[in-house]
Order: sequence, then C-alpha cells, then structure tokens
Amino acid sequence: MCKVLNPEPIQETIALDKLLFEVMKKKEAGLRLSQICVSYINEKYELSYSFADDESFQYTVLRVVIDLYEEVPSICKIYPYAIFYENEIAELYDVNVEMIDLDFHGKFYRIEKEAPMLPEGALEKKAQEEAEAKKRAEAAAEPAPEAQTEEENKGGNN
Amino acid sequence: MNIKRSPWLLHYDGSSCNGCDIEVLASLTPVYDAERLGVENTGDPMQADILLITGGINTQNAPVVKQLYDQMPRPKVVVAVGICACTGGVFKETYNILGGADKVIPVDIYVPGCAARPQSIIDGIIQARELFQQRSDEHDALMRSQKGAANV
Amino acid sequence: MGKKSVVPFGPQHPVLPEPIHLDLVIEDEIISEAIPNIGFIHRGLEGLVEKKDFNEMVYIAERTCGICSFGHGLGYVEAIEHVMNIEVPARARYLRTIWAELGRMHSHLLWLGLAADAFGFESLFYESWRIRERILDLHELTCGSRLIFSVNKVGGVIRDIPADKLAYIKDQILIVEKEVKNIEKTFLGDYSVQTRSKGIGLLTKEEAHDLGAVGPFARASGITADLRTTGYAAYGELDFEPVISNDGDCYARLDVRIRELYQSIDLIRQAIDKIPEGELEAKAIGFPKGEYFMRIEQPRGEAVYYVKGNGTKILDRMRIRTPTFANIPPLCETLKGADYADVGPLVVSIDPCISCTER
Repeated sequence: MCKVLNPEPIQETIALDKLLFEVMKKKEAGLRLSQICVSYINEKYELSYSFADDESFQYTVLRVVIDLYEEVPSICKIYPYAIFYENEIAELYDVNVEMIDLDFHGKFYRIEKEAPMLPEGALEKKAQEEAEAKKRAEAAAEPAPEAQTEEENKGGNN
Repeated sequence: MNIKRSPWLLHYDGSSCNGCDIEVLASLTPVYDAERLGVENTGDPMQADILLITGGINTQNAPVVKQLYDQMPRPKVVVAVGICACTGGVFKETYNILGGADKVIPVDIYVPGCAARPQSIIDGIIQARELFQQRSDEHDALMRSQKGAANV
Repeated sequence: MGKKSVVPFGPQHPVLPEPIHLDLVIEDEIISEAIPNIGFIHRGLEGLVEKKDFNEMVYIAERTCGICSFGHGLGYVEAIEHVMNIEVPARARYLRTIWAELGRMHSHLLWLGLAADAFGFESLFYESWRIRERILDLHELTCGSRLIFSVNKVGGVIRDIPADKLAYIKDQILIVEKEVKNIEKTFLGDYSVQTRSKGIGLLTKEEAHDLGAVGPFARASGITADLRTTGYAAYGELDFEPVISNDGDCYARLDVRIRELYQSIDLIRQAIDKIPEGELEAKAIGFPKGEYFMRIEQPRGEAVYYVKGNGTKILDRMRIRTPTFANIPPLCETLKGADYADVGPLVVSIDPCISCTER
C-alpha cells in the first residue's frame, strides 16, 4: 500500500490590492503556479490563481472578485510563466491585465471574435461601466480648484 | 501512364483532436499497412498526390490549408478523414470553427468516423487511388490534344 | 558574431504531427530564442458549456485530445462527482484505473515511436507502433472503440469487464512486456540514439521548478511529484513509487517513460488481482451546485479540471488546464543555446499535445 497524500484544497478570497503581496508569499514558500482561470458570474469577473506544493500535494486557490472595468496587475515579475495564462484571459474574456512582459495584445490565439467567452451584450456593458467609472473619478478630483476660487473671492471682498 | 501504383500522401491536421491523425499514422504501420498499396507518407507538399485532411477548419488555419492545396501539383485528390473534416463534427457550434474542409478546398472523398477506423481510411485511400488514375488520364489526354492543336 | 536570422518552424513539418508555429532566432546554427505562435487548433470547446448539459459535456471533454481521451473524461467526471458528493462504487474505481493505465501505456508507446521518428530511426517507429496495436485491441475488446471510448459517466462506468476478459488482458500485457524489453535494448543501448539524446536539452531541477514543469518532463529532472499519490480512482489501494531520473536531458526522458511502461504493467496486474465484485454506478440525483478543482496525472503530467455549477443542468464554467500548457515555457528555455538540428527531437521530447493545449 503506497502512502496516500490528499490534503483538502484551501481557498482564500482576497481583495485586488492584496494580490501581489499574497502571490509573493506563495513564491517565498516555494509553491508552483498551477493555473489562472476566470469566470463571468453575475456581471463580475471571478479570478482564481492556483498554487501547488509538489511535496505535500497541497492545493491553494486565491480568489479575487472584480468589476468588469478594473485593472489587474500582472504577476509575471514574480512567476515568469504566468504570461501565457494572462494573455489567454485577456483574449478570451477581455480582462484588463496590465504590465505583462510578453503581451500579445489579443492575438495569442488569433481568434476573430472579440472576447468570445463573454455572453451577448457584456462588452457594451463593460464599456459603459468603464465610462461611468471615469466620470466618477473626474468628479471626485474637481472640488479643489472651486474651493480655492471661493477663498480668493472672499479675500477680494474684504 | 499507370501511376496509381505509387501515390504519395501528404497528411495535414487542421483543428483536430488528434484521434484521426493517429489512426492515419496507424494505417501506415505494419499491422494495417497501407504501404503495400504503394503509398508513402511524405512531408513535402510539392511531391504529394493525395492530401489527407483531418479536423475542422478554423479562421487561423484556413489560409494554411489553402496554401498547402495550392502548392500541390495537379492532378491531385483530397480526402477528408473523420467527421470533423467532413462537416465540423461535435464542434460545429463553437465560436471558432467554420466547418469541414470543404469550406476552403474542394474535397473528393469523405471518410466518416470518430475516430475513423484504419479499415475505412484504407478504403478511402484505395478509392482516391482510382480517382487519381482517372484524373491523370484526363490530364494526359488534355496535354496531347493541346500539343496536337499546336502542331496543326 | 554571426548575423541573426529568423527561421519559421511549422505549422506543417514532417516531424510534427500537429500544427504549432515557432519562430526560431538563430545565429550561426545555434538558437538564441524561440517565440511560440499558437492558435491553429483552438476550437473554443469551453464555450460549448452553455449549449450542452453537464452529462453531455463528458463527450466534449473526451474529444479535447484523442491520445489522452480517457484521462480527460475521467478528470471531468471526478470533478462533477466531488461537487455533487457522489460516492463511486469500488468496482467502478478499479475499472477506471485499468483503463487509465492502458491509456498511459498506449500514449507512451506512441511517443516512443514519434521520438524514434524524430531521430530518423523509422524502423523503430514502426516497431513501437506495432506493439501498441495490441493495447488498442484490448481497448476494442472491452469498450468497442480504439481511441475515443465513452465509458465514463457521472457516478460510475457504463460497461463491465467480465472475469474471462480480465484474464485475457493479463496474458496480452505479458506479451507486451516481453516486446518492450526487446525495443528497450535499442532505445537505451544503441550508439546513434545515445549520441542524439545524451546531453541534449538539459534542464536542471531548479530551472524545472522555477518554470513550472510537470509530468515525466519534470520527473526526468529530479522533481518527485506524481499525482497518482493523491489516491484518486483506485490508486490509493495500489503499490507504486514515482519514477524519477536526475540527469535532465533527452536520454533521461526516454528512460523515465520506458520505466513508466513497466510500472503501468505492474499496476494493471495489481488492479486485476484486487478488483472486487459490486455495482458499476451510483445514482446521480439532482444538479451540481458549487465548484471544485480536480487534478489527475495524465500521461503527460498534471491536468487541472475546474467545474462550477449553479444548481441547474447547464454548468457555469468548465476549464481544463492541460500539462503541455505548463511545459511550453521550459521548452522555450531548453531551446536557447541548442543546435538547429536538435530542434525536432527536443520539441518531441516534452511530448507535446497541442490539441490539449489549445482546446
């Protein structure tokens, strides 16, 4: 009878800004990147980064849930072979992955249809959400110049 | 000219799952032995007479298949091996498959099956041999009639 | 310092059974870089998950690749069974193990033939495939088809192997063992094969770990990882050790795969001796709800199957990550500094299955 090693897989859900730190911890522990996967559920992207330990056969999955227009940093500076997985998710699901070392710009599989795994109407929704998010960001940056002109007016009146 | 005794094959894999390719190569190995018909599996399209296509056609390999077909000298015969090369098979409804091999090049013989059995593939090669002899005879007659017209 | 030129390799090439395109940057016959360009076999079968229900997806998963077809069906079905909490009966698990090991044997014999053809040794190619036909006859005897046979279903298997056929399988693999011993002398002892494979394509243990290599490719460099140790199907009740080598070159990969053939023969014998009587399937009630990552050991390495169900008969997502996808970065690394004449044997030595990679 051979020794059977079958630990329960671990799944952790983390926020997008903690992604690089958690991946660095996995690299420090000597784990191998097994795969990167994305699903389109309830109009959000669910990313899964899987890491495998070849000595104890422990499988860990990092889950990140993001909105359609958010930008994901590439982990290829930590795991160089992640570029293939990231090019694939950028091409099939149109996820905005930034700073990939070898970026095929949507020509990895050279498919004619844009983002073929997304359902109908999802690309337009994504463009819409991206425009709204940009408007919200600009509106949040505006109040500072208006407050300054008000003070000048007050100083002028006195 | 009796050239049907040594037709040379070119085998190309479109978007296939490999099952039919492995069966094509298995037909050439000692147990099923299509080589007793005089065929030889060549890798050079410019020396091939019969093209064996497996797998469906997707947008990326449509120009490759067209170029291979154009590089083969006439007379030539095309055999579509496996149900994916005939009609698209199980993958007809995916977003990337255009259909069978006849979307890009003219196909003469269809060999169905998933994966196509070596017995059917050898039957297809025998029928392709007959068609190849027929086309070669027609080509010879055309050359003779053109030469005859030039001499007049 | 020579001039750099770019040589295209593929998609149609006599040594490649499948289309893949590599742009090789060479300088004085030594390769400095290899840029892969794939997409010729991409069928998009993961998109079919919206159109077929979860029982029919077994047929789609099996047709991802014709060589490792049983493994794909097995991985998908095991993932769904984990999500639905179905306990597969013991006899079905042993039958799945026997078919999986027969699949591993036919895949390794196929690869041995293609490797011999890449060296230019055509008669050895024909001899390996002649031996392989005996295994395919066993497939046809038990399942009705030679390569793609759908015997897996959610909950068990659909056909049984009666006791007289099991005894016949045992006799046939004894003959296969004698014939493999014959060709092993040529593969590992012949001078021309040794010159073309010893010292070619070296990959050290650290490089293999840093680049994420899996399967016999990694085991030939010294990494001891064999996923059958996790005990899926009936492997938990059988006795085996992972086959490893420490050399890391093409010769070591030949050696590892030939020894795995003997290991598979031993595993089939153990399974046939220990197989219990019993049911062939467990009833699958309801629809899958939840997600699971299942990993199995295909002949080429670790394959990951991810399914996510939402309680209806149409799944949300099915993803297959095949071993060749993980082996392409180490391949590009071993090609650097290699001789131009060694590109064919090197590419074949990782056992590429491009149709699995691109699905």
